[in-house]
Amino acid sequence: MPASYGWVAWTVTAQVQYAVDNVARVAHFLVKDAGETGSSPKTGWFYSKDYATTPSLRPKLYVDWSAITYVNVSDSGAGTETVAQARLVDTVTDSGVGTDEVAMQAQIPASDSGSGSDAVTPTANVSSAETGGGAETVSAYVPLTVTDAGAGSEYATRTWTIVFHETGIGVEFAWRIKGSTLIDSTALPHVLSIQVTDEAQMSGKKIQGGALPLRTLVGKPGRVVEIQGWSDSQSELDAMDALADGTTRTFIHPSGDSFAVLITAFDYDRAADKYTRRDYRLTLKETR
Amino acid sequence: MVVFGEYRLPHALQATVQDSRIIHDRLIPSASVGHRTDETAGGRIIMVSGEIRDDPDYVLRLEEMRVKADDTARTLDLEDGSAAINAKLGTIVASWTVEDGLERPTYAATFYETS
Repeated sequence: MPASYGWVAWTVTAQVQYAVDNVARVAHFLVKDAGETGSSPKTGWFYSKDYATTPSLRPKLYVDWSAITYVNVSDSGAGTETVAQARLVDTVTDSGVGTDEVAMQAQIPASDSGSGSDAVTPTANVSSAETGGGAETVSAYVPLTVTDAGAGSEYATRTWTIVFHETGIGVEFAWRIKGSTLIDSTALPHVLSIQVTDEAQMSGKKIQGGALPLRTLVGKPGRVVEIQGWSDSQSELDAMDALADGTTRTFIHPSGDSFAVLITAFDYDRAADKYTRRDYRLTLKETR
Repeated sequence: MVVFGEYRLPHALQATVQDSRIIHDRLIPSASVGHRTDETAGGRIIMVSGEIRDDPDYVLRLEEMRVKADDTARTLDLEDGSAAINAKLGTIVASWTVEDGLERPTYAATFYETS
Protein backbone atom coordinates (compact mmCIF):
# COMPACT_ATOMS: atom_id res chain seq x y z
CA MET A 1 0.00 0.00 0.00
CA PRO A 2 1.32 3.49 -0.72
CA ALA A 3 2.24 5.74 2.19
CA SER A 4 -0.06 8.54 0.97
CA TYR A 5 -3.54 8.54 -0.47
CA GLY A 6 -3.85 7.53 -4.12
CA TRP A 7 -5.17 4.92 -6.54
CA VAL A 8 -4.13 1.33 -5.97
CA ALA A 9 -4.43 -1.12 -8.91
CA TRP A 10 -4.56 -4.91 -9.02
CA THR A 11 -4.76 -7.23 -12.01
CA VAL A 12 -7.90 -9.34 -11.53
CA THR A 13 -8.23 -10.97 -14.95
CA ALA A 14 -8.61 -14.47 -13.58
CA GLN A 15 -11.34 -13.44 -11.14
CA VAL A 16 -13.32 -11.55 -13.81
CA GLN A 17 -13.01 -14.41 -16.29
CA TYR A 18 -14.27 -16.77 -13.59
CA ALA A 19 -17.23 -14.46 -12.94
CA VAL A 20 -18.05 -14.32 -16.67
CA ASP A 21 -17.82 -18.06 -17.10
CA ASN A 22 -19.47 -19.26 -13.89
CA VAL A 23 -21.40 -16.77 -11.75
CA ALA A 24 -23.39 -14.56 -14.16
CA ARG A 25 -20.69 -11.90 -14.29
CA VAL A 26 -20.90 -11.00 -10.59
CA ALA A 27 -17.39 -10.63 -9.16
CA HIS A 28 -16.57 -10.11 -5.47
CA PHE A 29 -13.25 -8.82 -4.20
CA LEU A 30 -11.78 -8.85 -0.71
CA VAL A 31 -8.92 -6.43 0.05
CA LYS A 32 -6.74 -7.37 2.95
CA ASP A 33 -3.22 -6.99 4.25
CA ALA A 34 -0.68 -9.37 2.75
CA GLY A 35 0.77 -10.05 6.24
CA GLU A 36 -1.91 -10.05 8.88
CA THR A 37 0.34 -11.35 11.63
CA GLY A 38 2.61 -8.27 11.90
CA SER A 39 3.14 -6.57 15.28
CA SER A 40 2.39 -2.99 14.23
CA PRO A 41 -1.20 -2.19 13.29
CA LYS A 42 -1.92 -0.98 9.75
CA THR A 43 -5.04 0.64 8.47
CA GLY A 44 -6.20 1.03 4.86
CA TRP A 45 -9.02 3.40 3.88
CA PHE A 46 -11.02 3.09 0.69
CA TYR A 47 -13.95 5.05 -0.65
CA SER A 48 -17.04 2.88 -1.02
CA LYS A 49 -19.10 2.31 -4.19
CA ASP A 50 -21.80 4.45 -2.56
CA TYR A 51 -19.56 7.49 -1.89
CA ALA A 52 -21.72 10.38 -3.10
CA THR A 53 -19.52 13.42 -2.43
CA THR A 54 -16.98 12.63 -5.16
CA PRO A 55 -18.30 9.76 -7.29
CA SER A 56 -15.11 9.70 -9.36
CA LEU A 57 -13.30 8.28 -6.33
CA ARG A 58 -15.47 5.17 -6.14
CA PRO A 59 -13.70 1.85 -6.89
CA LYS A 60 -13.50 1.00 -10.57
CA LEU A 61 -13.20 -2.22 -12.51
CA TYR A 62 -11.83 -1.98 -16.03
CA VAL A 63 -12.63 -4.91 -18.33
CA ASP A 64 -11.30 -5.23 -21.90
CA TRP A 65 -13.61 -7.39 -23.99
CA SER A 66 -12.38 -9.21 -27.06
CA ALA A 67 -15.02 -10.08 -29.67
CA ILE A 68 -14.39 -13.38 -31.39
CA THR A 69 -16.49 -14.96 -34.08
CA TYR A 70 -16.69 -18.67 -33.58
CA VAL A 71 -17.49 -21.11 -36.35
CA ASN A 72 -18.55 -24.37 -34.78
CA VAL A 73 -17.33 -27.56 -36.33
CA SER A 74 -18.85 -30.85 -35.28
CA ASP A 75 -16.16 -33.42 -34.81
CA SER A 76 -17.03 -36.66 -36.58
CA GLY A 77 -14.29 -38.46 -34.71
CA ALA A 78 -11.84 -38.99 -37.54
CA GLY A 79 -10.26 -37.15 -40.43
CA THR A 80 -10.58 -33.46 -41.15
CA GLU A 81 -13.83 -31.56 -40.66
CA THR A 82 -14.94 -28.79 -42.98
CA VAL A 83 -17.08 -25.79 -42.23
CA ALA A 84 -19.72 -25.58 -44.91
CA GLN A 85 -20.41 -21.89 -44.77
CA ALA A 86 -19.46 -18.79 -42.82
CA ARG A 87 -21.68 -15.86 -43.61
CA LEU A 88 -20.68 -12.23 -43.38
CA VAL A 89 -23.43 -9.65 -43.67
CA ASP A 90 -22.82 -5.95 -44.03
CA THR A 91 -25.55 -3.34 -43.98
CA VAL A 92 -25.73 -0.14 -45.97
CA THR A 93 -27.50 2.83 -44.47
CA ASP A 94 -29.06 4.95 -47.17
CA SER A 95 -27.93 8.55 -46.84
CA GLY A 96 -30.70 9.69 -49.16
CA VAL A 97 -28.53 11.00 -51.98
CA GLY A 98 -25.83 9.61 -54.21
CA THR A 99 -24.44 6.12 -53.85
CA ASP A 100 -23.74 4.48 -50.53
CA GLU A 101 -21.00 1.91 -50.44
CA VAL A 102 -19.88 -0.70 -48.03
CA ALA A 103 -16.20 -1.33 -47.54
CA MET A 104 -15.80 -4.93 -46.49
CA GLN A 105 -12.48 -6.40 -45.50
CA ALA A 106 -11.62 -9.73 -44.08
CA GLN A 107 -8.40 -10.61 -42.33
CA ILE A 108 -7.34 -14.21 -42.62
CA PRO A 109 -4.65 -15.11 -40.07
CA ALA A 110 -2.16 -17.75 -41.08
CA SER A 111 -0.28 -19.82 -38.54
CA ASP A 112 3.42 -19.40 -38.96
CA SER A 113 5.11 -22.70 -39.69
CA GLY A 114 8.49 -21.13 -38.94
CA SER A 115 9.96 -21.09 -42.41
CA GLY A 116 9.06 -20.62 -46.04
CA SER A 117 5.67 -19.30 -47.16
CA ASP A 118 2.38 -20.31 -45.62
CA ALA A 119 -0.60 -20.36 -47.96
CA VAL A 120 -4.22 -19.70 -47.03
CA THR A 121 -6.92 -20.78 -49.45
CA PRO A 122 -10.25 -19.23 -48.56
CA THR A 123 -13.30 -20.14 -50.63
CA ALA A 124 -16.47 -18.11 -50.86
CA ASN A 125 -19.93 -18.98 -52.11
CA VAL A 126 -21.89 -16.07 -53.54
CA SER A 127 -25.57 -16.77 -54.12
CA SER A 128 -27.49 -14.73 -56.66
CA ALA A 129 -31.28 -14.90 -56.93
CA GLU A 130 -32.26 -14.94 -60.56
CA THR A 131 -35.21 -12.76 -61.48
CA GLY A 132 -36.25 -15.19 -64.16
CA GLY A 133 -36.88 -18.01 -61.68
CA GLY A 134 -34.78 -20.45 -59.68
CA ALA A 135 -31.49 -19.71 -57.98
CA GLU A 136 -27.95 -19.71 -59.21
CA THR A 137 -24.78 -20.22 -57.23
CA VAL A 138 -21.51 -18.62 -58.13
CA SER A 139 -18.39 -20.14 -56.63
CA ALA A 140 -15.38 -17.97 -56.03
CA TYR A 141 -12.02 -19.57 -55.28
CA VAL A 142 -9.18 -17.24 -54.42
CA PRO A 143 -5.73 -18.61 -53.46
CA LEU A 144 -3.92 -16.28 -51.11
CA THR A 145 -0.22 -16.44 -50.21
CA VAL A 146 1.22 -15.06 -47.00
CA THR A 147 4.91 -14.30 -46.85
CA ASP A 148 6.52 -15.59 -43.69
CA ALA A 149 8.23 -12.88 -41.66
CA GLY A 150 10.01 -15.50 -39.56
CA ALA A 151 8.10 -15.07 -36.32
CA GLY A 152 4.62 -14.35 -35.03
CA SER A 153 1.49 -14.46 -37.16
CA GLU A 154 1.09 -12.87 -40.56
CA TYR A 155 -2.02 -12.01 -42.48
CA ALA A 156 -2.85 -10.90 -45.96
CA THR A 157 -5.77 -8.80 -47.17
CA ARG A 158 -7.42 -8.79 -50.54
CA THR A 159 -10.33 -6.83 -51.96
CA TRP A 160 -12.14 -7.71 -55.17
CA THR A 161 -15.10 -6.73 -57.30
CA ILE A 162 -17.60 -9.25 -58.61
CA VAL A 163 -19.65 -8.17 -61.61
CA PHE A 164 -22.78 -10.09 -62.62
CA HIS A 165 -23.86 -10.19 -66.23
CA GLU A 166 -27.36 -11.63 -66.07
CA THR A 167 -28.05 -13.86 -69.02
CA GLY A 168 -30.35 -16.26 -67.22
CA ILE A 169 -33.63 -15.08 -68.69
CA GLY A 170 -32.43 -15.46 -72.26
CA VAL A 171 -30.94 -18.84 -71.58
CA GLU A 172 -34.11 -19.98 -69.84
CA PHE A 173 -36.23 -18.87 -72.78
CA ALA A 174 -33.88 -20.54 -75.26
CA TRP A 175 -34.46 -23.81 -73.51
CA ARG A 176 -38.19 -23.23 -73.47
CA ILE A 177 -38.31 -22.48 -77.16
CA LYS A 178 -36.05 -25.41 -77.94
CA GLY A 179 -38.15 -28.37 -78.87
CA SER A 180 -41.28 -26.28 -79.34
CA THR A 181 -40.58 -24.90 -82.81
CA LEU A 182 -41.24 -27.73 -85.18
CA ILE A 183 -41.50 -28.56 -88.86
CA ASP A 184 -43.59 -31.69 -88.99
CA SER A 185 -42.01 -33.69 -86.16
CA THR A 186 -38.52 -32.20 -86.47
CA ALA A 187 -37.69 -29.84 -83.61
CA LEU A 188 -35.55 -26.92 -84.68
CA PRO A 189 -32.46 -26.61 -82.45
CA HIS A 190 -31.60 -23.44 -80.49
CA VAL A 191 -34.06 -21.07 -82.12
CA LEU A 192 -33.01 -17.46 -81.48
CA SER A 193 -35.62 -15.51 -83.41
CA ILE A 194 -38.79 -16.03 -85.40
CA GLN A 195 -40.26 -13.46 -87.73
CA VAL A 196 -43.66 -13.92 -89.32
CA THR A 197 -44.54 -11.55 -92.14
CA ASP A 198 -48.15 -11.46 -93.24
CA GLU A 199 -47.82 -9.53 -96.47
CA ALA A 200 -50.77 -7.74 -98.01
CA GLN A 201 -50.44 -6.60 -101.60
CA MET A 202 -52.16 -3.29 -102.18
CA SER A 203 -52.95 -1.60 -105.45
CA GLY A 204 -53.23 2.15 -105.68
CA LYS A 205 -55.43 3.72 -108.31
CA LYS A 206 -54.18 7.22 -108.87
CA ILE A 207 -56.79 9.94 -109.09
CA GLN A 208 -55.88 13.07 -110.99
CA GLY A 209 -56.36 16.45 -109.47
CA GLY A 210 -54.55 15.94 -106.21
CA ALA A 211 -56.98 13.58 -104.57
CA LEU A 212 -55.72 10.63 -102.59
CA PRO A 213 -55.37 7.31 -104.42
CA LEU A 214 -57.96 4.60 -104.08
CA ARG A 215 -56.26 1.69 -102.38
CA THR A 216 -57.49 -1.85 -102.76
CA LEU A 217 -56.26 -4.99 -101.08
CA VAL A 218 -55.39 -7.27 -103.98
CA GLY A 219 -54.67 -10.28 -101.85
CA LYS A 220 -52.36 -11.99 -99.45
CA PRO A 221 -49.75 -14.40 -100.80
CA GLY A 222 -49.48 -16.06 -97.42
CA ARG A 223 -47.26 -15.68 -94.41
CA VAL A 224 -43.48 -15.83 -94.66
CA VAL A 225 -41.58 -17.21 -91.66
CA GLU A 226 -37.91 -16.45 -91.15
CA ILE A 227 -36.17 -18.39 -88.40
CA GLN A 228 -32.67 -17.92 -87.06
CA GLY A 229 -30.91 -20.29 -84.71
CA TRP A 230 -27.80 -22.32 -84.23
CA SER A 231 -26.64 -25.87 -83.90
CA ASP A 232 -23.41 -27.64 -83.07
CA SER A 233 -24.53 -30.88 -84.66
CA GLN A 234 -24.01 -31.64 -88.33
CA SER A 235 -26.73 -34.30 -88.17
CA GLU A 236 -29.26 -31.70 -87.01
CA LEU A 237 -28.29 -29.40 -89.87
CA ASP A 238 -28.53 -32.27 -92.33
CA ALA A 239 -31.98 -33.16 -91.01
CA MET A 240 -33.20 -29.61 -91.54
CA ASP A 241 -31.62 -29.47 -94.98
CA ALA A 242 -33.48 -32.64 -95.94
CA LEU A 243 -36.79 -30.94 -95.14
CA ALA A 244 -36.30 -28.51 -98.03
CA ASP A 245 -37.39 -31.00 -100.68
CA GLY A 246 -40.46 -29.23 -102.06
CA THR A 247 -42.87 -31.15 -99.85
CA THR A 248 -45.65 -29.28 -98.07
CA ARG A 249 -44.95 -29.47 -94.37
CA THR A 250 -46.50 -28.18 -91.16
CA PHE A 251 -44.82 -25.37 -89.26
CA ILE A 252 -45.64 -25.28 -85.55
CA HIS A 253 -44.94 -22.00 -83.76
CA PRO A 254 -44.02 -22.14 -80.02
CA SER A 255 -47.37 -20.48 -79.32
CA GLY A 256 -49.13 -23.51 -80.77
CA ASP A 257 -50.13 -21.77 -84.00
CA SER A 258 -49.49 -23.96 -87.03
CA PHE A 259 -49.96 -23.78 -90.79
CA ALA A 260 -48.78 -25.52 -93.96
CA VAL A 261 -45.53 -24.28 -95.43
CA LEU A 262 -43.01 -24.83 -98.15
CA ILE A 263 -39.37 -24.52 -97.17
CA THR A 264 -37.90 -22.14 -99.67
CA ALA A 265 -34.45 -21.51 -98.23
CA PHE A 266 -32.12 -23.11 -95.73
CA ASP A 267 -28.58 -21.98 -95.15
CA TYR A 268 -25.99 -22.28 -92.40
CA ASP A 269 -22.49 -21.09 -91.68
CA ARG A 270 -19.74 -23.16 -93.13
CA ALA A 271 -16.79 -21.24 -91.69
CA ALA A 272 -14.29 -23.52 -89.98
CA ASP A 273 -13.95 -21.31 -86.91
CA LYS A 274 -17.70 -21.58 -86.24
CA TYR A 275 -18.08 -25.33 -86.22
CA THR A 276 -18.85 -25.30 -82.51
CA ARG A 277 -21.82 -22.99 -83.09
CA ARG A 278 -23.14 -22.80 -86.60
CA ASP A 279 -25.85 -20.27 -87.22
CA TYR A 280 -28.63 -21.26 -89.58
CA ARG A 281 -31.39 -19.37 -91.36
CA LEU A 282 -34.61 -20.94 -92.51
CA THR A 283 -37.30 -19.40 -94.70
CA LEU A 284 -40.79 -20.89 -94.88
CA LYS A 285 -43.71 -19.73 -97.01
CA GLU A 286 -47.28 -20.49 -96.14
CA THR A 287 -49.17 -22.57 -98.64
CA ARG A 288 -52.54 -24.20 -98.92
CA MET B 1 -50.83 5.45 -78.78
CA VAL B 2 -52.20 4.71 -82.23
CA VAL B 3 -55.88 4.06 -82.90
CA PHE B 4 -57.10 2.35 -86.07
CA GLY B 5 -60.87 2.54 -86.23
CA GLU B 6 -61.91 1.43 -82.75
CA TYR B 7 -58.79 -0.66 -82.27
CA ARG B 8 -55.94 0.68 -80.18
CA LEU B 9 -52.57 -0.77 -81.18
CA PRO B 10 -50.71 -2.21 -78.17
CA HIS B 11 -47.64 -0.26 -77.01
CA ALA B 12 -46.93 1.55 -80.25
CA LEU B 13 -43.35 2.82 -80.10
CA GLN B 14 -42.69 4.45 -83.43
CA ALA B 15 -44.50 5.69 -86.52
CA THR B 16 -42.72 6.26 -89.80
CA VAL B 17 -44.59 8.31 -92.41
CA GLN B 18 -43.61 8.08 -96.06
CA ASP B 19 -45.30 10.63 -98.27
CA SER B 20 -45.10 10.95 -102.05
CA ARG B 21 -46.63 12.82 -104.96
CA ILE B 22 -46.97 11.76 -108.57
CA ILE B 23 -45.02 14.16 -110.77
CA HIS B 24 -45.52 14.25 -114.53
CA ASP B 25 -42.18 14.73 -116.34
CA ARG B 26 -41.71 15.65 -119.96
CA LEU B 27 -38.36 16.36 -121.55
CA ILE B 28 -38.33 19.36 -123.92
CA PRO B 29 -35.56 19.08 -126.55
CA SER B 30 -32.87 21.73 -126.26
CA ALA B 31 -34.55 23.24 -123.23
CA SER B 32 -32.63 23.68 -119.97
CA VAL B 33 -35.73 22.88 -117.90
CA GLY B 34 -38.31 20.26 -118.87
CA HIS B 35 -42.00 20.22 -118.31
CA ARG B 36 -43.10 19.08 -114.86
CA THR B 37 -46.52 19.07 -113.36
CA ASP B 38 -47.90 17.66 -110.17
CA GLU B 39 -50.31 14.97 -111.19
CA THR B 40 -51.72 13.79 -107.91
CA ALA B 41 -51.00 12.65 -104.40
CA GLY B 42 -49.32 9.29 -103.89
CA GLY B 43 -50.92 8.73 -100.54
CA ARG B 44 -49.02 8.27 -97.35
CA ILE B 45 -47.65 4.93 -96.25
CA ILE B 46 -47.35 4.75 -92.47
CA MET B 47 -45.48 2.03 -90.63
CA VAL B 48 -46.27 1.71 -86.95
CA SER B 49 -43.99 -0.49 -84.85
CA GLY B 50 -44.49 -1.52 -81.27
CA GLU B 51 -44.54 -4.48 -78.98
CA ILE B 52 -46.88 -6.63 -76.94
CA ARG B 53 -45.61 -6.67 -73.39
CA ASP B 54 -45.77 -9.67 -71.10
CA ASP B 55 -49.18 -10.72 -72.33
CA PRO B 56 -49.95 -14.46 -72.28
CA ASP B 57 -52.64 -13.73 -74.88
CA TYR B 58 -50.10 -12.36 -77.33
CA VAL B 59 -51.37 -14.65 -80.10
CA LEU B 60 -54.85 -13.19 -79.66
CA ARG B 61 -53.46 -9.64 -79.72
CA LEU B 62 -51.68 -10.32 -83.02
CA GLU B 63 -54.76 -12.00 -84.48
CA GLU B 64 -56.87 -8.99 -83.50
CA MET B 65 -54.52 -6.86 -85.54
CA ARG B 66 -54.35 -9.31 -88.43
CA VAL B 67 -58.08 -9.41 -89.01
CA LYS B 68 -58.07 -5.65 -89.49
CA ALA B 69 -56.23 -6.19 -92.79
CA ASP B 70 -59.56 -6.78 -94.50
CA ASP B 71 -59.55 -4.12 -97.24
CA THR B 72 -61.70 -1.87 -95.10
CA ALA B 73 -60.76 1.77 -94.75
CA ARG B 74 -60.73 3.02 -91.18
CA THR B 75 -59.68 6.18 -89.42
CA LEU B 76 -56.02 6.10 -88.41
CA ASP B 77 -55.14 8.46 -85.59
CA LEU B 78 -51.50 8.57 -84.55
CA GLU B 79 -52.53 10.70 -81.55
CA ASP B 80 -49.44 12.85 -81.98
CA GLY B 81 -51.38 15.99 -82.72
CA SER B 82 -51.56 15.34 -86.46
CA ALA B 83 -54.89 15.03 -88.24
CA ALA B 84 -56.46 11.58 -88.47
CA ILE B 85 -56.42 10.03 -91.92
CA ASN B 86 -58.36 7.37 -93.79
CA ALA B 87 -56.25 4.23 -94.25
CA LYS B 88 -56.23 0.51 -94.87
CA LEU B 89 -54.08 -1.94 -93.01
CA GLY B 90 -51.66 -3.99 -95.11
CA THR B 91 -48.61 -5.99 -94.19
CA ILE B 92 -48.02 -7.05 -90.60
CA VAL B 93 -44.70 -8.39 -89.34
CA ALA B 94 -44.43 -10.11 -85.95
CA SER B 95 -41.08 -11.07 -84.41
CA TRP B 96 -39.96 -13.08 -81.41
CA THR B 97 -36.45 -13.12 -80.02
CA VAL B 98 -34.75 -15.13 -77.33
CA GLU B 99 -33.86 -11.97 -75.43
CA ASP B 100 -37.42 -10.64 -75.18
CA GLY B 101 -39.25 -13.93 -74.73
CA LEU B 102 -42.31 -15.49 -76.26
CA GLU B 103 -44.80 -13.22 -74.55
CA ARG B 104 -43.16 -10.01 -75.74
CA PRO B 105 -43.29 -10.04 -79.54
CA THR B 106 -42.61 -6.93 -81.56
CA TYR B 107 -44.75 -5.99 -84.51
CA ALA B 108 -44.74 -3.63 -87.47
CA ALA B 109 -47.99 -2.74 -89.20
CA THR B 110 -48.12 -0.89 -92.53
CA PHE B 111 -51.05 1.40 -93.26
CA TYR B 112 -51.90 2.82 -96.68
CA GLU B 113 -53.71 6.12 -96.91
CA THR B 114 -56.71 5.94 -99.17
CA SER B 115 -59.44 8.21 -100.40
